[in-house]
Formats: sequence, structure tokens, C-alpha cells
Amino acid sequence: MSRNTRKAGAIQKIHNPGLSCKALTACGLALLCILLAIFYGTAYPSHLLWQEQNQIFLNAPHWLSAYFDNPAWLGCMTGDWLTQFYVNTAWGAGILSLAVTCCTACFALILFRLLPRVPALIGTVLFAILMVGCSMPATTTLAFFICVAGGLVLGLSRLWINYGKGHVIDLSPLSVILAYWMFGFGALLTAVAMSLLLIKRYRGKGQRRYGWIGAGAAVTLAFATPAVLCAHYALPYSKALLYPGLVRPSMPETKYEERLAIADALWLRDYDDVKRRALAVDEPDDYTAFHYYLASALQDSLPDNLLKFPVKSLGTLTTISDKSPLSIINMMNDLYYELGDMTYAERAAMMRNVFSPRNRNVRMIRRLAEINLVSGDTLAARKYLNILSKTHAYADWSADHTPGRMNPQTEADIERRRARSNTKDNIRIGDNCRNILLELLESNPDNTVALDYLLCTDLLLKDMDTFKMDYDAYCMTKGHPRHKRLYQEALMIYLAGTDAPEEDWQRYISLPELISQFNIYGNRRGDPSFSDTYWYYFDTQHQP
Amino acid sequence: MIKSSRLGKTEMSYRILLLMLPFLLWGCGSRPDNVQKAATPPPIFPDYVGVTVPVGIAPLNFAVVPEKGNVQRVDVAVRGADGRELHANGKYADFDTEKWHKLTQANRGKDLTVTVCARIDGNWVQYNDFKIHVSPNPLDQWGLTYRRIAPGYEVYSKMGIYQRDLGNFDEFPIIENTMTDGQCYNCHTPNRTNPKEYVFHVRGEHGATLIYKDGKCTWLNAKNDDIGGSMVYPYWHPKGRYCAFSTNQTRQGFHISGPKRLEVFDMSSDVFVYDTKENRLLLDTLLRTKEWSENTPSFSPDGKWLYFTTARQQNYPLGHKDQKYNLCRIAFDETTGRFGDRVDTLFNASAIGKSVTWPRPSYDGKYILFTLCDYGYFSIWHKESDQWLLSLATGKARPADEINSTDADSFHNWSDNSRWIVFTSRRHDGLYSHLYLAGMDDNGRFTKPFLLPQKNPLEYYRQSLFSFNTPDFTKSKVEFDSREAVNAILSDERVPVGTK
Repeated sequence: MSRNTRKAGAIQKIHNPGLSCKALTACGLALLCILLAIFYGTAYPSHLLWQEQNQIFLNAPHWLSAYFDNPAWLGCMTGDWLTQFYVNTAWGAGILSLAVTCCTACFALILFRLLPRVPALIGTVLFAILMVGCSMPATTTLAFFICVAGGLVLGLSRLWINYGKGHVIDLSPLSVILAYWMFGFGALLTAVAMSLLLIKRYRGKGQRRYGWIGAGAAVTLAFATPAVLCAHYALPYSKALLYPGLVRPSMPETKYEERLAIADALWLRDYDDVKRRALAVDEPDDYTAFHYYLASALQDSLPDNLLKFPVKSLGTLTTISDKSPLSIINMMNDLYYELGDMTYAERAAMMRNVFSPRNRNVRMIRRLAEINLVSGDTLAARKYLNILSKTHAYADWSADHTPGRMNPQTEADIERRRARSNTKDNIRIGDNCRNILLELLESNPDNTVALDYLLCTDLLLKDMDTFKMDYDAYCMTKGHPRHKRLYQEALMIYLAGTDAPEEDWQRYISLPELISQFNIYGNRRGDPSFSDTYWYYFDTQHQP
Repeated sequence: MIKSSRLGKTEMSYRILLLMLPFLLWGCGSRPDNVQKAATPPPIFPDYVGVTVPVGIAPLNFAVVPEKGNVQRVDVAVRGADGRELHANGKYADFDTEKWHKLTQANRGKDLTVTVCARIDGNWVQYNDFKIHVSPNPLDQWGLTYRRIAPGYEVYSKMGIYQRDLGNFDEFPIIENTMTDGQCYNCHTPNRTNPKEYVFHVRGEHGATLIYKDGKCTWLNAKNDDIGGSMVYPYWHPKGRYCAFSTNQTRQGFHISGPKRLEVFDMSSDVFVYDTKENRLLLDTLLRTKEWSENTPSFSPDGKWLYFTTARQQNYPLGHKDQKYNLCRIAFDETTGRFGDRVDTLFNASAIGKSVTWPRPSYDGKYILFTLCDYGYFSIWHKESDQWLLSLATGKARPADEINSTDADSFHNWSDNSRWIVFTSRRHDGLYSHLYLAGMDDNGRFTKPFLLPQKNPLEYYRQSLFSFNTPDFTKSKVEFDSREAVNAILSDERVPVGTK
């Protein structure tokens, strides 16, 4: 390159100082988008699925028209429509990262108009951090980002309007009303962006007064529009102003992601994965324990695994009410459904729906369809299947589960669940799980999931008399002794404690090798080398 | 422009044709041709075959829902006896509201004949024609009021009290709980469909009972120690000075199995009357017995009798199936506010092993419409519950089989002229209650009920997860300042109520 050419390049660079900065910002945004997509796709798949599962989007005119009943119809409709694709992790990661990047790009476009390059760049980076932080909570909906981006785009719109020379009134602040209608709280961003742009524009023309009038009009409209429309939308002013809601940014919810992943694995019926994930959790709690035990029970190995998990929580002592966290309601829904209690599974599903946008979410609508198929209420099942048939991701599932069109595998699964559900009617007032388990066993003594939950709850509570009574009632008298090591060990404690005669030992204990170990333990009570036995739990652990 | 002027005539026509092709293709097949006849009535939703409707009702839009095949288009012609015809062509029958009104107006007391053709999987099928009878009896009501709620058993999400124009599909909220962060509103009850006199309750943290009368809102304490609870099921005295209520210690339980899901029952209940003029409760020992539960009061149209239901109080939940309510009445003197000293049994339901609930006298004084179920009074959760009609002239009651279904048919109210009723039924999906209207002919028989019309009824009702409760007619639109009401609710300023 000749010296002259280099010189010309340098001159061009001086005359176009923004070019490199814009290119830098564009590259930064592209990088941000790629990095976020990788992050969401690899570290946040269960967050994405949770959002998809916590809402529903129906491809039906009536459903779409209902978006106009609230502010931010475009933000909410677009957000909900796109969220349904989160069912595919790659799509979800791509959509969310694009949304965050779009918000940042719009913000950058405004900021670079208002500030010198360096402060604008710093501001853009800070805004990007804020947006990424906002994307972290599982409760953040995509509608939030669409409303932010929409609001900013309408704020930018002033730049694209050319009134020509000699205009008297600048009408651009009126777009704040449009912004509120389409993007809710995004109108506040429109007003701020537009105000700053107007002030700058008219200051440059030496008509400072016009700038301030326009800014005042934009801000006034941003606050006045929701005040005027809140009665129409039947919302209190504070809610109407910030509709569909702001988000508090947070750090990545890695622990919550772990928990969601466990629940997802259960939903997908990958029980080995549930157990593997639960055991890998650093600080196991009732939630992880619940899923570990439920997965074990569904593999017919609850008594084998009861003592293997550090936290002892079966969910049988948990009740739900309107104050219960959503995760607890989900857990109880899963537990009752797997136990075979369709009444309380339906109750939990209905309750969970109540706490979802527009009173429904795909997971619970699907569960309600399953519940009614199992309980034989075809009319109700069809209602939920009809709703699912209008979705993008579950229309095929709905068709496969329609009575008369089910494939043999689905039909067999429904029949299997029906066989272990309640058959005797009564009125139940509380959600005492012991009563629920007894009712299930009265209907079907072969319901081993319910039986194991009953016996294991007795054992965790160290209620040996009740354990023996239940074991006798549902194992011995029915002629189906359950030769699980855990139960054998517990029975030994009972038999030894009651000085039972030899024939009782012979009748109950089918694993004679355990007797010698029991005798050894008797001389070394509390010895940690026996920590995998019920004897050790009985002697050393507190009941939950 | 220059380019197009160089195009030849043929080429120009070709391009125009090409531009119009999508429209031609769209139009192609939208009208019936090569029609095959099906010798059955059309499988339509809602079932409007043979129903009787009042003049001015919203268009009875419907969809064709065959057991097999996909409906691509329907073509419907409605012909009046006067020769007028109304036509609809689309994915479902969607009639023009104004033309529909003109058609019903011109055919009062006559039949409309409906011809339905449907293109199913590419083939046009024409079903047997069916009739819609336009009643000679006017409705004389602007619309309906009702509560719409998404049931969650113990909790609820968005809910509110709404009003619906019966002449079209417009629905307006009277008050919604989104305005007050999750309050529960219920039992909006006007006095004989008068929108200027009504009562409703607010439940929860800012609970209250609203009495709206003479253009004034009075917010009463939600709970009253003298009655040991809240004012619950209301009914106005025809003169508007009094309003009867029950007070109920309500609980609920779940059925473990079987067709029923939920059981709502009372640990105790009583009946009393609220005097709006003196702001006091009128209590009587005959309506507050210990061993019996008095419930669901209503006044006779002349105001001289207070009807109510009563059952021997059972031990819950074990004795829930033995709680059988009978229909009774007691005299009421509106000048003194005193009750009679004798209770008459009008319908002894327990003698036939049944239970009465929601007695609603017709405003012409001829009948009492009530719901009969196997036990208890919360009939919407009882699939066996049916509408029954008691003739006050003969004292005989009969099941209103002409409007009953195999699912729950429950709460009801009369129009001001006693010629129409609105009631809730779960016949559509067994889970959510919807509103049905039926007329009454000169012989005291109901006509076939029809589901509350919607613009696109199939989509609306299939996708709705809401139940419609406590419907009533309203003469005109309820004017209610919901913002002022919300302020009053949140202020917690309540009027204490005295007792006589």
C-alpha cells in the first residue's frame, strides 16, 4: 500500500469516526446473540421449557381476539406465540437471545444518537447486562422483551418521520398512545426515548421550546393513557401502567435450573435421569427428594432407595392450598396422578391452572385430559383435547389421545392407570395422604406405588405399630408379602420389640441372612457401617 | 407505466387473470354444487334444531360438527314464513345481526326454516331442513347478568360479574376482580330484573355486601355476629324495601370416585330478612332452628310469602347423603316486617328421597321453578339435578323434562314477564356450567332450551374454561361505576347492621 493510500484511509477514518464504533457495536451485538443462544441452549433448557409449559397459545381467532382485552396486545400475543416454540430448546434459545439482542440494539440506536461514542457504548453494555439479567428469572416472559423492544422502536420512530419545512405541530408524541396499546409499559420507554430525541433535535435547530413541549407531551401521554384506559381494561392504575409487568434482573438461576430439569425428566418419564439428577444436586432438599422417591416408586424400588437419599421427603405429609408455591402444587399433581388418585390430581391441576396466564397452561391442560381419560369422563377429556388440538406442539398428542383413535400403547397406559385408581366413592374433606393411600389400596390392593408410599411413610415416621398394621392389612392378609429388605429390617425391629414368637419370625422374615446381621447390629447400635439399614435410621435419625 | 403500456391486450388480460387467480380459487367451491342429500338433521353445535327463540335475540350462529370428516365450509339459508331469506356462508354459520333481527321480527309466532349444506372433505352434503320457532311472547329484557369464573375449587383466578346484551354478542364487565387484586364477587341479584335495585357480595379481605337502591350504594359489613356469619343467598321483596338472605357455614369436600367431583354442604344455615329502610335484620326463631338448616329464600311476587328450603341438619361428611331439603313457606307482613307463626311444606322432596334447592317463583305468581337433586343443595355439582316446576294453582310439581338433560341443570331465574327462563347446565362438557334460555308456552310447558348465542359458539364454548353462575335477566343495562366501587371496597368503610 502506498503512503498516499494509507494517508487517504486515515483521513477517511477521521471523517467517519462512527463507522468503526458502529461496526464494533454490531459485532458486539452479534457476539452477544451467539453467546446468549449458547448459554440458554446449554445452561437454561429447563427454564425455556418451564416457560413454554406455563402458558398456552391457541391458533384460534377467538383466542387471539382476547389479547385486545388488555393493553400490550402485540407484545403479549407475539411473546406467547413465540414462546410455544420453546418446546424445542434450540428454537427457544435462538428466540430468547434474539429478543434480548433486539432490545439492546434498539437501545444502542437511541443512545448513539444522544451521546458521544464512549458513553453510548458504556450505556449499551450496561443495558445489555440489564436485559440479560432480566432474562434469568424463570418468571420472565418473552412478552417483556417484546414490549421493551417495541417501546424503543416506537421511540425511534421520530427519527424516521420527516415533517418537511415549516410544520407547526409535531405529532410524534401521539405514538406513545399507540405504544401503550401495543406494548403496555413499553410506552414509558417510547416516551423517554422520544423526549430525549425531540429535545436534541429541536435544540440543534435552535427551537428548544418545541423540543421541551414535545417531550412534555410524550411523558404526559405515557402516564395519562393508562389512567384513562385502566377502567376499560379493568385494571388498577399501577398495574395498567406497567402491564404486562416489569422484571427484576437476577443472576443465572443455576440451582433452580437443576430443580426444573429434575421435574422435566419426571414429566418425560425418564426415571433414571430423575434419580441421576437428584443425586447430583449439591444441596438436596425436599423437592429433589420428592422427585427421587417418586421416580424410584415408579420403578418399583422405593423401599430399596428410601435410605439412599440424604433428605427424607416423600410428599405424603405435604398439603396444598392457595398459598402453596407453584412447585409444590406441581409436585402434588404428579404424586396424586402417579398414585392413581384422579380426584386430587385434578384438584391440583385446576389449582395450578388458576395461577397461569389466562387460567391455563399446556402441561396442566394435558394432565387434565389424561386424568379424565383415566377416570372415564370422555366428555371432559374431549374438552381438553380440543383445546390442545389448537396448539402448535400438542395437536398430534391430542389426536393420539382422542378416544377411539388412541394407539394401543396409549390405551394400555390409560387402562393401567385406571386399574389402580379409586373405585369406591366417599367424601374427602382434607388432603391427609394416609387416608388417600388407604382409599387407593381399598380399591386396588395391587397398587404397589400406593402401598410403598404408605409403608415408607410409616417407616420414616418410625411408627412401627402402624407399619405392622398396614403391612399385615395389605401384604400378609392379602397373601402378597412384600419381601423388600427395608420392610424386613423394619419388621425385625417390631418383632424384637414385641418379643414375637419364633413362628412370627419365620412367617415374616424371608431373608434369614438378615437375622445374623440384625444380631450383630444389636451389639453395635448406631454404628455408621450400618448406615444403609433401617435399624441405623431408626436409632439415629429424626423423623421428618 | 411505460412498461405496462407496451403490453399486448392478451398479455394484459393474462396478467389480470393471474392476479385474480387466488380470489377465483377462493371463490371456487364456496357455493354448494353436486350436493348429496343426507336424510338426517344437521349435526350442529349448539343444538338449535327445533328451538323457540324470542324476537330480537342475538343471531343463532352455529357450526356443523359431523362425526367424521372435516368441515371446510357451510352454506346456510334461513327462510321465514313471509318468504324473506337470510344467508350465511363461511367456516360456520355467522348471520348478520341486523338482518337476523328483521327476520325474527317479521316472523313473530311463526317458523324459520333452516337449510344447511356443508362441504365435508371436498363433498357438499345437504341435511334435512330444520325449524326455529319465533315465539309470539316477547322477552322484554335487555340482557343477562351473571358471574363468570374460572373454577379452581378452593381458589380462583380472573372472575367477575358481567352483563350481556341478548340482542347481540356484546358483553360488559360490571366489576372484575382484576381491579381489586383477587377479590371474589358473587350472587349479583336484581329485584325482578330491575337494574336499579340489586345486591352482590364481595368475599375475602375487603369483604362486604353491596345494597344498591335509589341510586345509592350501601356497603354493609360482610359478617354479622347476630347471624353468626355472612349474608349469602339473596332475594328481593317485590316492593324493594326488604331483601331475604340465608347465612351459611359452608364447607366442601371431594368425591373420591364416581361422576361427582365436589360436594358443597353447610354445617348450619338460617334465613333472615334485611330491612333496607331501617338498616336492620329481621330474625325469627322459625327460620333459625338448630336441628334444621333453612336455606335459599325467595319472596312470592305479591310479597306475602317467604319461600325457603329446609333440611334436618346432618353430621358431615358421613351424613351428607341424608341432607334432603323440602320446599316450605312462611307468611310475611311487609308493613310490620313480621313473619307468620306457621311453616307450610309446599313440596316434600325428602318423602321421595330427593332434595329441593333454588326455588324461584314466576313473577306472575303461577309457578315455582326449583332444582331437584338426590341430596344437599349445591346442585351444580350433581349430575342428576333437574329442573322441576311447581304449579301454585294445583300444588302439583312435575319434572321439566322438556328442558332437562342427563347432566347438571341448576340455578335459574325468570324474565320479568314470566315467559322466559335462564338456567345453568353442564350438558355441554360435564364440567363447566353454561347458560341456556327457554320459553314457556300457554300450557305451562317449556320450549326446547337454547345455549346462549355467541359469535363463534363452537370456538367460544370449546375453548372456554369458565363457568357461568347465578344468571338473571336485566331490563336494561346495569350502570355501575366500578372505579368508585373499587375505592369503596378497598376503603373498608362499612355500614354496621342492627337487629330486630
